[in-house]
Amino acid sequence: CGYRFRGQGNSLPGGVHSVYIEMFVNRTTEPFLENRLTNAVTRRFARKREVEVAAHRSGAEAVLSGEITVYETEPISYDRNDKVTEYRSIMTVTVVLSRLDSGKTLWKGTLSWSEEYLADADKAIQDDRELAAEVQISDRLSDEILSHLLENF
Amino acid sequence: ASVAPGDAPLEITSRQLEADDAAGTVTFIGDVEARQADLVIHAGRLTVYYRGEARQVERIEAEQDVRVIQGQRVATGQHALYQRSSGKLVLTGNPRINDGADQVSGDKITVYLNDKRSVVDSRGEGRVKATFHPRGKQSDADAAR
Amino acid sequence: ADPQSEETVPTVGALDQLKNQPIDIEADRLEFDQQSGTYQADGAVRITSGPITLRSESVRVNPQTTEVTASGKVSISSPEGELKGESLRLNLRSGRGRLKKGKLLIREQNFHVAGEEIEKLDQKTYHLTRGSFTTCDGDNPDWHFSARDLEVTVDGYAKGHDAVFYLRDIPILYTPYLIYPVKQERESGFLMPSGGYSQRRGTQISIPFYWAIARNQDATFYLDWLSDLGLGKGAEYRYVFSGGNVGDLDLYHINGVKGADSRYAGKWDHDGMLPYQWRLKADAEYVSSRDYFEDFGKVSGEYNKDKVDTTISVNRNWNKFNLTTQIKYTKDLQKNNDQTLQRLPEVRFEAVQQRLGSLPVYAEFAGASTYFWRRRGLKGERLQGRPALSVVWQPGDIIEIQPEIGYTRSHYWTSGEGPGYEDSGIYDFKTRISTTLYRVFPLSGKLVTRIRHSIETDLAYTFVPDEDQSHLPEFDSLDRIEAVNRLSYGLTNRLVARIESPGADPVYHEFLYLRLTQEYDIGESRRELLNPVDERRPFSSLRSELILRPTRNSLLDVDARFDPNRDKRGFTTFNVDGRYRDGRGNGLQIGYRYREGAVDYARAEIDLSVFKPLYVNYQQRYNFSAGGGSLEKVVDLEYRSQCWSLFFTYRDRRDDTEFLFSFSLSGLGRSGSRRKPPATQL
Repeated sequence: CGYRFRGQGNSLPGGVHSVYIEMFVNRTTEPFLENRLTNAVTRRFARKREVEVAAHRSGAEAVLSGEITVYETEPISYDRNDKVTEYRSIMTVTVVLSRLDSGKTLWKGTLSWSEEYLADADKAIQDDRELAAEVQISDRLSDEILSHLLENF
Repeated sequence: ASVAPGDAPLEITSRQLEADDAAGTVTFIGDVEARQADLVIHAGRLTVYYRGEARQVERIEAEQDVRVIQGQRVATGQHALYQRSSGKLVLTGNPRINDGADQVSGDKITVYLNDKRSVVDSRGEGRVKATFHPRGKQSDADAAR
Repeated sequence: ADPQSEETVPTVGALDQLKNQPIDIEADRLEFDQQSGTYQADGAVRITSGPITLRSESVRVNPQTTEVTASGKVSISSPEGELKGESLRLNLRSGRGRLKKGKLLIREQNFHVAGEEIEKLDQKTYHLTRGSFTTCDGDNPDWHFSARDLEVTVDGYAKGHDAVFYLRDIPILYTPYLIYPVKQERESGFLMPSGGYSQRRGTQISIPFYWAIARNQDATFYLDWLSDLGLGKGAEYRYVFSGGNVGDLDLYHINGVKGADSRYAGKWDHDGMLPYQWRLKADAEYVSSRDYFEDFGKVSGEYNKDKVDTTISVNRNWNKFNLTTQIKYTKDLQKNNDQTLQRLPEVRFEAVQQRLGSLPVYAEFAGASTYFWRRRGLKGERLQGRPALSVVWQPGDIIEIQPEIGYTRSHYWTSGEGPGYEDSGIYDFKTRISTTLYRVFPLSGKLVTRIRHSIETDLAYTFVPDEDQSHLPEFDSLDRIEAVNRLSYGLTNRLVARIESPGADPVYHEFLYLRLTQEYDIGESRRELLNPVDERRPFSSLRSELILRPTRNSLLDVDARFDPNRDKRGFTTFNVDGRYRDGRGNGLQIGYRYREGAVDYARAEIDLSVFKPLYVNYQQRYNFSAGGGSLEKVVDLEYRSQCWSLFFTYRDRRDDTEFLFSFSLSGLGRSGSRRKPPATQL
């Protein structure tokens, strides 16, 4: 029916296969985001057939690097007394895939994703929910990064 | 024929020559080439007007595709009139001066050979147009020529 | 500036490149004097060289000294701007010169500058004597500033002494020193005064003062006179120091009126580098009283803020390792803060997931030592570490299998009320199986030549043993790791269009994203039922996320959860977000959020530019649950003339109704709607 596991032209830009994933740089004022995002991206790329995650920078054909430029958590819904009931966290990242030898940029993109979480009277629980939203955003952003990278059909 | 106006000898060659002593004119026709020191004039027809026994040249008139060449500078036009007394050369008939890559064009170009000054005028709708290439430091000398 | 040097000319930037460009001259008369080597052109002279055109009645050029003098209706136009004046002396090589009775237009900012004499000091700076400037076109500007002397930097500021502000030609305001942003790029805090009335704050007048301290620092000071609350003083200081240290510090203080005590608030954002590649981040916010935002918050999200956080962290990365120390202090604005849990500090060492040699094996480690503190209640230290290993296996290059196993080790030392020393160790196991199918549909369209449909199926099994953790103190969710025995499965559809653009690489635009996910709780499916009425609910709600992007500036995002269990059978959550902008200033945004028993709320915003020059923005927030109704209505009107704007904002919310007038000269921010209105920056 025309659907194939290996779509034609479905490889990383510039036909590269092995990628070294650098630790993302966190330009926001929220700590720990770079660990979660780098972990999520590494996990997602490792699972993808078309990509080979390189253990060391020297062995790779290309390098994936990125910068988290925005992290905001803003109220998104209110109850009948105009008190905050839900928050939305949004993270924006700029990602660059460049060839290791020449440093030439193969692909560059800016992506963002948002997730909502319930506010809570106990601020510790509210912080836990924000953390869960951050983990979810990191996973979804890694899906988006990979999906956009493989758009060269 | 060589006529000696001014200080340097003026040699003029052409295919045909008509002299009219009464009117005091000598007219050269066909591939005319006039030389004086480093100045060369080409034209289809050139008339020299002179006065008195010493054949003192008063003025020279050149017509048809006139070309005046002095070193690297070439002035062209349909009609040129040289007044020896004032040292003034007037070019008309969409005259133009080329000096290497630089060039100037207008309706009338007047060159004051003695005081090394030239003026380009336009008439009516016409405009004077010029293009210059700024010279780097080393070739300033040419600009001064 | 070297005032004594004669040859300074207001060449507009690019004129200096004349040096190596051929010069074309057009005039009524051109004279060349060989002795002095100068050309004299007269009569509607037009000199063009590269991107520059010089027009004047008469011009003298000396190619040797590159000295140009022009007089009579002189005008120089270049990509950056226009320059007009009576007479001009210009040295092409040095680019310096002087223009008498000159006018300068900096095109990008539409900045008109005029002066008895304009001198060019360097590449981007002009000095004017008896100068004036405005952003209004035409000879009779609606407003202008005049100053004894004026220094204009093309991408910086216009600074003047003894300046007078004119409306038409009526002097309105004198100021000994004036500073005005020429380029809007920098987050210039330059604002104009605003005034209005609010039920909560009484008459409100806000007067901002701006100070460009240096190229990399500037500050805005506010004086807010609020008749019912008192005199507010605010300061917003922004800095960009070398080594990428960027931040801003906002302080606000208001001494109460009618016996109310004074209140203050502070906010500091910073991201920058310390020596030895350590990175310092700060996002600190403090308010002196819990009701601070209710009084001074203007926009929703500010006046109903429920907490303020202070997070200060220092971190260092080595390749794939990361050490971070964070202090996190939260001030709960809804109730007494004694119980609020603080992390003073939390130290985390993490090894990001990395591959072990050429094996398809990946290892990661996350360790954290946190000291939990609260004024009253359980305090304690927790040391927790979780190594994890994962393997990737891709049989037949079709299926992707990624099992992962982790072990969380926790140690606790708690204060008196707590259990003292405790520890625990819990395994967690997860495996993900996924594959993706692709198909490319060729299209005959000229613009969209191909569409690719991809379907990613994703199955995950998660198992965490049921460990008794009741002996552990409970600080946060990591102290009660729930038992899990769950299957979660999902399907993600993507439709991506390949759009050809002439002469450039094709652009890919994902116009449809549809993700369906659900979970099956194996534990729940085997739970013995205590009473016959009870029923097992192993299937979670089916979550569907749909994102449609028909064009680049329109979007429809639907995120809903449907509970399939018999007794519910309905949406437990239903969220819609629709956005459309037509690129001509008209736009619509509608958001509806529903969560069973908790949220039933909508927000709509309309931007209209059809009544130009009147620009209308209307926002409405509405809560549908009982006793809800309209939470807030905002009408924002802007009358935008060519070089100034008048603003009117009407805001009607539950406990305050407010209106605000403000005006702004183009190129300036506006106090009425600056991103964060003055009182609420904090």
